[in-house]
Amino acid sequence: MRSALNDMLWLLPVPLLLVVLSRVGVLLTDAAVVGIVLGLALFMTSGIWLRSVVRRRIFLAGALRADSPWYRHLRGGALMALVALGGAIPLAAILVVATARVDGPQLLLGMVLNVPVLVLLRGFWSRRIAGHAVPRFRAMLALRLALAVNLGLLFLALAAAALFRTYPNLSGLTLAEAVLSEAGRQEAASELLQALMQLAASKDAIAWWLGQQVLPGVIEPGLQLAGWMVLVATDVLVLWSYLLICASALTLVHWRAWHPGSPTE
Amino acid sequence: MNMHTQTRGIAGNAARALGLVLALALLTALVIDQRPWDRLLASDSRVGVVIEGQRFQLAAEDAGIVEQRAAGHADRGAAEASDAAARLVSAELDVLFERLSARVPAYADWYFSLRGEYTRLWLLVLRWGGLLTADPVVYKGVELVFAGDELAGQIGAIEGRVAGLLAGRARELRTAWIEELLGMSGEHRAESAPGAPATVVVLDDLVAEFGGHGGSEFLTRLSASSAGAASAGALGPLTARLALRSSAAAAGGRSLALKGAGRGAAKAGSAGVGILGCAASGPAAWACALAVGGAAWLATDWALLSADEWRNRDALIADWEQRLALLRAELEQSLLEHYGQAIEAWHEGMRLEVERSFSPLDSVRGRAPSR
Repeated sequence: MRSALNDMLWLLPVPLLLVVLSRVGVLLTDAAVVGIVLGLALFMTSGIWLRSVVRRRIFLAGALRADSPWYRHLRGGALMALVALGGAIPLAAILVVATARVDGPQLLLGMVLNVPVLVLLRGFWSRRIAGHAVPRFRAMLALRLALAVNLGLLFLALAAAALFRTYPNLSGLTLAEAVLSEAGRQEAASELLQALMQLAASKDAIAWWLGQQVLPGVIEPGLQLAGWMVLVATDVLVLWSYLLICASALTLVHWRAWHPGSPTE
Repeated sequence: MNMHTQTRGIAGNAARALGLVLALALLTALVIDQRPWDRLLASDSRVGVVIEGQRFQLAAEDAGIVEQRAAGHADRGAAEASDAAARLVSAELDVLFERLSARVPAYADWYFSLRGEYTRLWLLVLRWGGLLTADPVVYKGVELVFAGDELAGQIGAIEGRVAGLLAGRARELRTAWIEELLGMSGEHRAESAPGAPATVVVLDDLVAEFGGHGGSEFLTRLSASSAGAASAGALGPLTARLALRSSAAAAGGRSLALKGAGRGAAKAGSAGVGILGCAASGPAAWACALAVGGAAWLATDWALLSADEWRNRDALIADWEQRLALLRAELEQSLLEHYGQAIEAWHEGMRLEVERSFSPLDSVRGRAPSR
């Protein structure tokens, strides 16, 4: 109970940071934007790297003899961390752009309310797999399962909220006009952030334009929901980035307990 | 000891849970409520300006300058429009009445011709018989000088040109204002960083008012229908107005009638003398008397008309020139009153819109809102 509450409290700075970023993001300079993206990417990398290490250990435990020297060589080190960083940078940039562009409370509200959900899901899976998982991998496995389920729940919630949102009326515009119109509305002090925001706005304009030109012809509500889910699928990357940061926060808090140890242990 | 530890553990959990709930509530409030962010991020020294979808920011003192310039723009625009309307109306009426004056000699020619004489007599007979109400002399004069209804059409055309000029002035004023504003924003674009300025001034309504499309409905007031109504009041039943305008003209009409009666006596006398010469013509005496008497009548009439023309033609023309000058002055006054009222309403609308549009600055400048 206390551990879960502590985890929730440790996670709170993540949505707080994103809420602040959503309000001041457009005021930041290029250097500040790059700094925040790199900082978030490094933070994310810790979680990604540790999960990769666990995944590698599980593979090595099944594939190699315990006394094999390759067990140590392939355990996952700086190279694995660099690869993780390479994946984390675009995800962090996507998250920063999405929060700087956010124009409704749904996404941020979802992120705030998701804090207890993630911790409770992790606790739930930790208990569920207690009788099956190897103890030293159990925490990370429970986290992976919790992240997967949480991503699905968050996406469903935001896809449902997307159905009731108000969108710009693009019905009288061509696709090119819609893209230009949406891109032109983006403003930021940082030229880099503005360019990224325009890119994201163009993607949204394409999705909304398709939604307004194609989806009205679909009468079946189930199909409409499915259509919207396809159109907002790119938002999964935003949610995944957010969950990775949360996972990294938990990983850093429980680093000693969750790390599977060196191969020689 | 265990009990104590357990109690502390429960209290710690409760405190954490409470802190968590409060933190989540605070974060939720920060997500939903924009006001704390506005207060936190807004800078009192900046004023946002929105004009036709373009946004920029100015320092509060610069925004005050923009307001002063807007008011000056409104004053200048209205004054220049008024001057331009007065000049155009005067020039157009000059041209029109010059053309009308050029027709007065033709009227005098008709007046002092035999045809004119007998037409006048015939019209007088019709008037005495109650078949004609207007003064036949003036009636014919209006017909010849004003070419029927042409004057109303000419005045309508002048009104159309003046309305077009004023609408163009309004467009120019609007364009000049936008250019000036954008020029000023260029001077101060250093502060065009995105964010939430404390005060936002939306100038779209002011721009519409400058262009004549605002609350004062300047362009509507200038429309052909309303202007036509104004000039209709000035033209009115033109013949009656001209007949009543000058007592001198009426006196002239009476003297002309008396002169006509005098000419009738002289013509009767000359015709009688001619008829006497046919007494020896036998059976053809009646035909001779008619021919000779008629010829003598016409010759005498022509001679008397020529003498009358020699004596009174200039007076007749001067009288008509005076009537035309009076009519011109009345028309000009009527038209300028109409345009003056429209421009004054436009000016008032612009000044009110300046005051209303920039009223959000009152709080920035620390004075009580004027409205």
